[in-house]
Amino acid sequence: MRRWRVTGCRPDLIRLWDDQCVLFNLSSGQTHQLNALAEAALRIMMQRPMAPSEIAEALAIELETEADPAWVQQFDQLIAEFDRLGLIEPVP
Amino acid sequence: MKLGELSTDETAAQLAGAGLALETGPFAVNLRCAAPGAAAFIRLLYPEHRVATGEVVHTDVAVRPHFNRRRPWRREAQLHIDDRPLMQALPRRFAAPMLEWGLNFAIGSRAHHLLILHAAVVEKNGRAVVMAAVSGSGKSTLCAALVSAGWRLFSDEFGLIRPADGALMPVPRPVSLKNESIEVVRRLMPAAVISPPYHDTAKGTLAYLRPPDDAVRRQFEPAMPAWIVFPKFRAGAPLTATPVPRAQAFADLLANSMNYIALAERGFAAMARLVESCPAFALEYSDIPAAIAHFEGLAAGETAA
Amino acid sequence: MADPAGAGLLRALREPAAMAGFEPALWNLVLPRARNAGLVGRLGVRAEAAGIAAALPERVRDMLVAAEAVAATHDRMIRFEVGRIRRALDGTGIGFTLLKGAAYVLGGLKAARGRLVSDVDILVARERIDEVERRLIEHGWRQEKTSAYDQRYYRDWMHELPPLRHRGRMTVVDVHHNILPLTGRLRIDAAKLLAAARPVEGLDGVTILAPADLVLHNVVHLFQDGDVNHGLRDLADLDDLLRHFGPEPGFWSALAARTAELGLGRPVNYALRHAAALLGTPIDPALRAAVGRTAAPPPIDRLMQALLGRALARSGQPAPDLPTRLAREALYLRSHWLRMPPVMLAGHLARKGAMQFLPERQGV
Repeated sequence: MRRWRVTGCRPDLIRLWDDQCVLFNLSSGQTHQLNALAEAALRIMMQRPMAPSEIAEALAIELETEADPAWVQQFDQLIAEFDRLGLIEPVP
Repeated sequence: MKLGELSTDETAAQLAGAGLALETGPFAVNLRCAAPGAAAFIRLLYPEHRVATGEVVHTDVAVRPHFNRRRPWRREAQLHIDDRPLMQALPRRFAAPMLEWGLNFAIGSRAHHLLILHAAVVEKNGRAVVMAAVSGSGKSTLCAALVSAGWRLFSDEFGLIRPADGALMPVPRPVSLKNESIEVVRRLMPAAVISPPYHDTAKGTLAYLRPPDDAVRRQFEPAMPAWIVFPKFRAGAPLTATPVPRAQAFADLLANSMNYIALAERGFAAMARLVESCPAFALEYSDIPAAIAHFEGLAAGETAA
Repeated sequence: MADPAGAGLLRALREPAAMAGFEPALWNLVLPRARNAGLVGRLGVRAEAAGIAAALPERVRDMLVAAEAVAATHDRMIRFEVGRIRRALDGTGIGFTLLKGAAYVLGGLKAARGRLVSDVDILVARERIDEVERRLIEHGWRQEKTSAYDQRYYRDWMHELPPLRHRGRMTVVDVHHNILPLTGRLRIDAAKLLAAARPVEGLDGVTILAPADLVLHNVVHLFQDGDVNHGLRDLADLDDLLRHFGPEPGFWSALAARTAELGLGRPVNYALRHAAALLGTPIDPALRAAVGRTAAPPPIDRLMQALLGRALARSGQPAPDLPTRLAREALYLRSHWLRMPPVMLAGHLARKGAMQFLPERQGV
């Protein structure tokens, strides 16, 4: 199971306003807009490196929703997107 | 010494020689241009500005005659920034306004010690409004209209934010008026000094409004931002002011920033502070007096609060 | 002809503390020159190191801060690109070695600060270069030059792939399988460069050229780059490299050995003499003596010294005077003579000359 850690952001470079998040990407120097779910996933990964399925599970518990395959799959996509942006790196 | 205290001949001699160092807000720029009319243009628009002779300048802006090898009969002028040519040569009758374009370029491309927004800024009772918009949205006209109603001019082009404290820095320079807005402003401000019109530029007819003396005298007095406005002129539209959510305002301001990328984390922090410290709204309008009344209401309401 | 702007810039680089005493009129000459030579950021770094930044006029500080901001953004971009290249090669086991600007940035060299680098140059083993190219293209890079002529020119004569530009970020990576020898008579064994390269902490598989090779590559670049306009910046890089690695035990002897091995005595001699004369670079006397013995016969040596000295000292001069233009052109042509056989030279230059007039060069 491949775990990922956040290397491209810090808590002080994230702003959550209403349900929209803006963050500064330290790796690329770009600024991104995230939705609230993506923001939550990123914040969780800031605490410790995680695999997509672990994030899905943790957030499912928080949000009292079911971690069905569709739910889990969206975190695979999210991780791929974070990776493409250079926000996260796989932990060896 | 103020520029207006130099005679036209002295001004012309400096412009044609080593240059005339002009201080405008946090910038000092050396201007050079031997074209006839340049001295009168500068004296007309910058009489209250200080001449910074013998001081360090940020940039050198020169407009020089250009020889077009393929069309040698054309009388052209070329803009140079720090002795490097910038943009293509233009007919020499644009030599004087080219100094203005050079100043804009010098500020917009060099002043990375400040966060620069493409925005008009005016202030009343210590509170500034940032009107961020692309060219053609009527921001200069609205800016001139507010100045006619007693708002202090910071700039019709640059919102300069000091990263350390988020304050807006004035850089009061001539307001550039395009096409119909020249007449609109003339009617609003019958006593205003406006340069001769320059026809057939890339943006149509251009003319420059001299900044009020008071705005120039107070050019080192910053102010804190109080409102963010995204103005949009639409013919016949009633005035509407729609709140813009912060994340959206952030993105829209970012799109109107000239050097956000270069400022990196500092830019992010300054921009976040701006949208957190004041409400943002999209203003659609067609009637200038109604727009002025709207801003007056804002200023009155906020001061009462 | 006196050139106070160039003299002032050299003085600022050589004795940063002297900047504290610069008169406004001198600043107004030095700042534009430094800006055009790509050296404003470096002045800021040196003023800071000399402890005199706070004593400079406020407007000068504005410009140094502004240049530093731009440089920091470039540094970040370089690091990001290196990370992206590494991710694109993930799983292949292919390592790569950083050259030039990217090596300075990732190696944490002082030379990196204030330097504007737009491309990332990497060196990979020749037998893996096709795979590297394929991987990069799969990950969003694409080839800029498409004509068969360009392809051959790059692959055969430049020891590199045609520049690869990333579709989304528009940044460029130059993938080399060797660095250019300065003359056609010698071949550089790229395997030795790769073997001597030093790892970058925290980035498995990424290395930077060993110090001696980094210096020699800079020297080769100084002489080969058609854009001698930035020669002073390259020389300032050399100065920083030598100041940075000079105190490291064994550095000078390794540099001397490598210089002899690669037959680079003459260019090193020219470069060191100019660095010492223009920027006060400390040079190991033994190396200086060793490369001095390889100098060209006096008339040629004098000609080269004169051409180079003029081109370097006037880097960033906006409208060069005639001798400076000639010096630059001589160096440009010289670099081309050295790169390829004379028959090709004519073809390449003619082609470049004609292509300049094509309004649309894409898709040729």
